Amino acid sequence: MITVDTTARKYRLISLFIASLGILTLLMADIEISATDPMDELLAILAGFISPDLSQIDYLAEALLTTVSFAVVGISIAATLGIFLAPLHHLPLISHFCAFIRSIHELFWALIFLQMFGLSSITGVLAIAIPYTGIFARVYSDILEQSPLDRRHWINDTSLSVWLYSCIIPCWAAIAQYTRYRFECGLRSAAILGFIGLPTLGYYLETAFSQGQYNQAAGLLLLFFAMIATLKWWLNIRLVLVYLIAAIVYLPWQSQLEFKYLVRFITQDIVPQPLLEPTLNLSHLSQWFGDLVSGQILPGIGASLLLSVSALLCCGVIALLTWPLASRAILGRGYILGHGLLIVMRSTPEIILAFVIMLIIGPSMLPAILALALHNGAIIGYLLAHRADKLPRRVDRPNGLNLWAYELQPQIYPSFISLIFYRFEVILRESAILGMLGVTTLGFYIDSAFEALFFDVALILILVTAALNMLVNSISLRLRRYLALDRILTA
Amino acid sequence: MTQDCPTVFNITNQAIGFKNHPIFSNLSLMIKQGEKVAIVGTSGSGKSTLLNYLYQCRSVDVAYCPQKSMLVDTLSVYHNIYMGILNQHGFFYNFINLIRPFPLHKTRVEQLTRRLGLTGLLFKSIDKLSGGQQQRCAIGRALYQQLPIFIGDEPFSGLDPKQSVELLKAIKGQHQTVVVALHNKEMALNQFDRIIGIKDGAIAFDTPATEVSSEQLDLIYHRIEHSE
Repeated sequence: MITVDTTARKYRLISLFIASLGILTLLMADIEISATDPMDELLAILAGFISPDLSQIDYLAEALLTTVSFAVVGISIAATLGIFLAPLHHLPLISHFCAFIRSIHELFWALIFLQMFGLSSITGVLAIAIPYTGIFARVYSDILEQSPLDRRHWINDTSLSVWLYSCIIPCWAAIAQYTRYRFECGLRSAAILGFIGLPTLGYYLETAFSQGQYNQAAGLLLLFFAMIATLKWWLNIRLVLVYLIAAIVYLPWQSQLEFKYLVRFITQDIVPQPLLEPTLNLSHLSQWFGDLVSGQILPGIGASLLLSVSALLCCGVIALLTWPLASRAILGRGYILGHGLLIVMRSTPEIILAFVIMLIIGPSMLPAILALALHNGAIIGYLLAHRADKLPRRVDRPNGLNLWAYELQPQIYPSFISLIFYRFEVILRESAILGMLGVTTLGFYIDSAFEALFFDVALILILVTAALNMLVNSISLRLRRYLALDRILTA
Repeated sequence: MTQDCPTVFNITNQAIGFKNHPIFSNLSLMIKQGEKVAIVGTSGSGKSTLLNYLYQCRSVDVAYCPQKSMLVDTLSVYHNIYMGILNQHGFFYNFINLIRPFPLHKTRVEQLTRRLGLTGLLFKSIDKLSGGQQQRCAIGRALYQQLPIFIGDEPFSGLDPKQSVELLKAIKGQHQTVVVALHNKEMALNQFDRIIGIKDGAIAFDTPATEVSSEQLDLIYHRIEHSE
């Protein structure tokens, strides 16, 4: 008997494992279409896109400028702090701190600051600056790590100029490219901050969609796409300082902050209530905490994982189906259509996608699954198409479907699996905030706690969410190392 | 012997290479059926460009073996060899074979791998093979096509001389016409009928192997020693 020992087999086994897990969770998830006329709603939304209308929206320019300003100020702060934290990122304390702050979603940070600073610019800017600082610190440190110069040269030499010349300047191109990419993400984050009431594009989008003003909603979405699509023309790295000053001048900085409320929030509101009783009653405390665990934490974690794993399977399927549409090697010039489709899909924030899909098919877990799958599937599909087109070509290569099945798909499959693992972390982080739309993930309980002014519960739930993200990230990292997947993406 | 045979390649006054920057500005070359031609020249002299062009002229009749083996790393030897005949079958036939190899092809490819010295490696993926084994698999992919012409771009790099000669015999046994770019001087002289020397985007000499002068070869190989 001939033994089968192929790398393809290893990836087949990993895929089968992910697929069975995904199918199992899909069977358990609530995925019904509850709307009575999903087609009508879909057609109404599509009709909105045929005649988008922005003329009826007051404060449109303000919304646009506020969105950009939040992103500019938030990302500038995060990038600056990130660059200073990066050389220290090898210290466990710093790396755990950074992992912690980035494991809490922008919207949750915003909900916290909302209680402290109200609907002010400080809330918006901090909500972006804090998690992105954690992201920048880690990625900048990875970039510096790959710097041709030996790290030991500067690690013991604390002088700023040595650090600047030996680290930052050689890696400048990579740092600038990554920061530019993250600015695009920052714009998306700033836009969705509107979902909790800050006056950015998301606020007007949610209003227009909720009121069935699909012409306005379409106009706003198209405006948002245009803003991202034209980024490379208006985001000039040399003008960053000008943008930053303009944004700081533009944003209103006064807030309803009153010192005594801030003190009360920190010393009383977020402290678990049983601890504030005059005499500490341990049985009361344990009952309070037990109720929280069984009533919210465990169901929340369960729903978050259920949603994320189902979405991961759908995301993988979408990525595998869509990448050939954006590949020049397979489709020739026709690739431009698929390419455009993937760009639109990945530019739309998950929460907006989920919101729109929910309007069409009604509330269940399905809109959240589809939104996560479409957004992340498009990102992976885009990257795979790019990778496939860069593979060396032999003159006698097959074409069309044969090329796809025998040459390209097997060669990019390792990248696909690697991206899927990485994207699971992103999906899990995003799955929490989709709870704000009513899916009972951890985010749902967090949002409800904030609404009911149970800030102590909200804080514990946010910490649980962060811990879950960090746990899954570390498991995923180990798994990727074990399967030797990390090498594939850097190769 | 090949005097009365039909012509397989007939190039007259052609510019070959990139459109605005041809590597050969004016090339004329005729190769007849049954000829065994070695192409020699320094790296970058234009051998690959010429072979590429010859392949494009008659892609239907040519089994091609490119310079770097360019196999699909994650797939097995079986599938990589089968890839040679993808165009001879419909997509669904090929697709089923990708998932579950047909016994017919399995038997045939296995016989071929025995001749290539790849016994027992039929279902091992390319990334688990040595460089020499990969090279033999690349030749296998060309042989499996059963076409009348073989064009190889340094197909024996990374193989020892004895193996190379054996493989070349297998190639010559199965193809009427063989055109191979080579770095090995001995092999070019002993195993081929005709040697074409290429230098600076032009044919420097084109003579039967028995009549090649050592000056002619030195013209090429002297350069190699200096450039490598």
